[in-house]
Amino acid sequence: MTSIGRIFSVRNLVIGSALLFLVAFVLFPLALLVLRSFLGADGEISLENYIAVYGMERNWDAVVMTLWVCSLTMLFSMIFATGLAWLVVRSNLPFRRQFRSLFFIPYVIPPYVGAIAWILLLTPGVGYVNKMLVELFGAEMPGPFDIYSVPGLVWVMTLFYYPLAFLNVASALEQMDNTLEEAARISGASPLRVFWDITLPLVSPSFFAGGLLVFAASASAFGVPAMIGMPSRIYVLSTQVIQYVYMGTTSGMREATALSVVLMVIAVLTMALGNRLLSRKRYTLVGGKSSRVLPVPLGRFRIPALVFSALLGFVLVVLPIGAIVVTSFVRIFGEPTTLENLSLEHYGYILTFKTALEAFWNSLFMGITAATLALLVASLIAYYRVKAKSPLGRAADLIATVPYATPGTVIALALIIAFSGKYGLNLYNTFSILIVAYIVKYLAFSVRTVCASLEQIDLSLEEAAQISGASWLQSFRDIILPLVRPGLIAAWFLVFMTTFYELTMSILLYGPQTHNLGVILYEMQTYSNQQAASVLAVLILVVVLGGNVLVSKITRGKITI
Amino acid sequence: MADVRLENVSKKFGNVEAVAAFSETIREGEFVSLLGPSGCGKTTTLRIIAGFERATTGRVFIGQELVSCAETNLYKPPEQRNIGMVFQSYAVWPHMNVFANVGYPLKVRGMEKKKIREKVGHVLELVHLEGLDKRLPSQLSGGQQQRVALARALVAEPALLLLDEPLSNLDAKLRESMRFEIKDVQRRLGITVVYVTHDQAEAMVMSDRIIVMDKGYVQQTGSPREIYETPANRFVADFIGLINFLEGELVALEGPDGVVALNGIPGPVHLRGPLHSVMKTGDRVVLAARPESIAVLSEPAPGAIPGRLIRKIYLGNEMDYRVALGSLEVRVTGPAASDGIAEGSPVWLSFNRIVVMPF
Repeated sequence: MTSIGRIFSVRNLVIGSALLFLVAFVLFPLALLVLRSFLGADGEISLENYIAVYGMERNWDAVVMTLWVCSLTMLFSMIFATGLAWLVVRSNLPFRRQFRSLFFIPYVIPPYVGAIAWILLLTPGVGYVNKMLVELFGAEMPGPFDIYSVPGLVWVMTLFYYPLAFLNVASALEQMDNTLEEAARISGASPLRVFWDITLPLVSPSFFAGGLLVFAASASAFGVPAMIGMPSRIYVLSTQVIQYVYMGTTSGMREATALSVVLMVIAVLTMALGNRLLSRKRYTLVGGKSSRVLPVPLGRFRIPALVFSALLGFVLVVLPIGAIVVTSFVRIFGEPTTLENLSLEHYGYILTFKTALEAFWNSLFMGITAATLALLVASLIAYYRVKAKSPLGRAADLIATVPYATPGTVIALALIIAFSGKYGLNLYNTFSILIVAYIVKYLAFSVRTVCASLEQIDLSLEEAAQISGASWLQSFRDIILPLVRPGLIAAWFLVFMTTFYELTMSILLYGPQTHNLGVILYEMQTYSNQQAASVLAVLILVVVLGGNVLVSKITRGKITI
Repeated sequence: MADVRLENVSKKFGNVEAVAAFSETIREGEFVSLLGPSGCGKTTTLRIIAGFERATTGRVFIGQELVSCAETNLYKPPEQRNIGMVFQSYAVWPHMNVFANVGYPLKVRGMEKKKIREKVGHVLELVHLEGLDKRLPSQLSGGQQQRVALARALVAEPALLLLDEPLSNLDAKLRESMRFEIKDVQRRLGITVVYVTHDQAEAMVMSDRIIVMDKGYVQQTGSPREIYETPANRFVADFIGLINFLEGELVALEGPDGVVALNGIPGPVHLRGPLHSVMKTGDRVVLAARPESIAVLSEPAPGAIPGRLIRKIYLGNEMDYRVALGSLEVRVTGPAASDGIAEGSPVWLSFNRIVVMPF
């Protein structure tokens, strides 16, 4: 075969088209966004936009508020996550396996659903907790808590983003060779000293990486700051960007662009730093585990720790989900929760409300389409990356991680700028622009999942099939496919679920015909139709929690969102 | 230095008895191996001595001191037992350099810096790691990490040194040389050592005494020679080295000596006593004979059992013979020089040493 023939082989054409897709829908729009932010009014390169945008106090305030809120969220999450991780992994807390799963549940709940729940609980005057404190303990109206505040915002962000840190620290503790701790004990160190001298330094990379991931995630968040911050004029970068886009003016777009680039830099930098910390493997040595991990006895703190964990589980999971479920059945929000005040009328309202039904079908349709296409593209990339070890596969994998780190708000804005017809393709207000956004944003999820399941298939398994007389196709069908199937199904569900309830990008990209559940729910929430919003939130929770149970069954607990 | 005494120690994990009624005394300065297949209870026993497991019953003494008593709920945590321990994975702390690793036991004992420096220097010399004290563990080979672990276990001059399969992660050559090195260090310091291994050759080379365990029970205790030459039962015989088992029945006792009819083999075998004290006529017995304690003869001889040479394999330093005795196959090893007998020829086996065991 000639060299030209080799370059244009079917194999390269296939991966080439996947690469082309990524270049067109990831690199081009993001590059355009950055470039546009540096273009002056007459199309020359200048810092004009930045000077104009950051000359305004409200924009500075948004930057400072973002850094402030995210730093607090990061700090609280790290402390909270480390304590809990140690408790469920290394101590002799009763039911610690169950608590480990319980503490992780907030991770699979959409954060804006969490925001709605805590608004229901902590709104001054009518929030369930405030009302209870007023009625039972004689607190002064409107009750001690105000969710619409910076502490309220940090509280909800911490509760729903801390699992990122928890996951990191817990798995670092689990993977740590515990004879390292035993060696310190036998050297004469007390359990507390072992924790300081050995355990903490060894998990520190995961500790800091987890914190940085929390920071990046909360900087990218839109739903929580929009629902909790905006009503009391607390703006962060993501909500500020949306404000500008909604103005619909040229100057609004320019300001949104300049703010987005800063938001993107903050999120991508922190996430890159976090991943770098995690990938540094200087602490890996000869593997080995003690025959049996001896949990650290809590002694007289065992029962208090159990009570604390149970209370925490209640606050983390039962209280917010309970508030939403109860509200969805309440006739009038704010009235006492008595039998007369319970009804199914809001379910009836949603089920007959045309816009909500359309939103449901749109969510379903876009979720299925995006998940299927993402899986297809991801499988191609993963195959070329892991099996064929092609440099094109590696390049595609690398590009796919860019939108993963980029805040959804920024991606959506970039897609609007690039595909509103100015550059030959007009996708504005179509399903396509939403589906492209979903695929691009969540592709890295699928690639990672499929890569992981392909990597565990040793080449010798295929070779053994071939030496047994199977053709390449037969060995693919009989050996590879059955082994990667759980991974593929998991990858599909992960994208489907996140797409199903997506809000951040949808809020910028939806059109008259293409609103989804997240958007409708957001609108109901902002127009203070709490019960209808709760009905939708219940629906989303059922799909998401059910989907996660399914995925963890299929993959035997190895993968959740 | 101290002796170690375990009295009726047992450990249950749920319903599984990991260690049962373990009673032994390890004398001061003695090198004792706990030997057995995985799951035999040897590591659990070691971890009970260290204090990482609490025994279900029994008492543990280190020196004169009672460190654990299940019955009175007395338990001293590991950090108060003054023990050195080397782990299978070495457990060298990856975030500390060699000096910090080895000096740690002294640091937690609150020793002054100058004294620590001096002591660490000495012990690094002892394990041949001079000049590597600034290295991080990731910059060391497996063998060097192992020496760091050994140095750390010795630096505080513990009364007792515990080693949990310390050589199993090393390659064969290094393993061999480390055996002698550990033994050498133990001799020079005169320290009491309890050594856990599943490798019988390792146990034979290093130990003063071997405790063979299986399914939680001690099967035999003795010097390497006793364990090898007079195994107490079939398990010990089979676990240590190669051995042939011949089953049969004691047909007659002639004073202390006996006559055994073997299953599947024509002709009686005469055994020298004392058998009369432990057996009576009609008992079923197992005869165990090591391949090297049998001679292959090309001529009949008194007491030799006739058979046929099935296969002979040249192994360089010796010959490996398979001989058919009736329906049985017996393995024999002999000097490589006497290669004269052809496969298929009739031969006679003369048993130089036979161990008689109850069936």
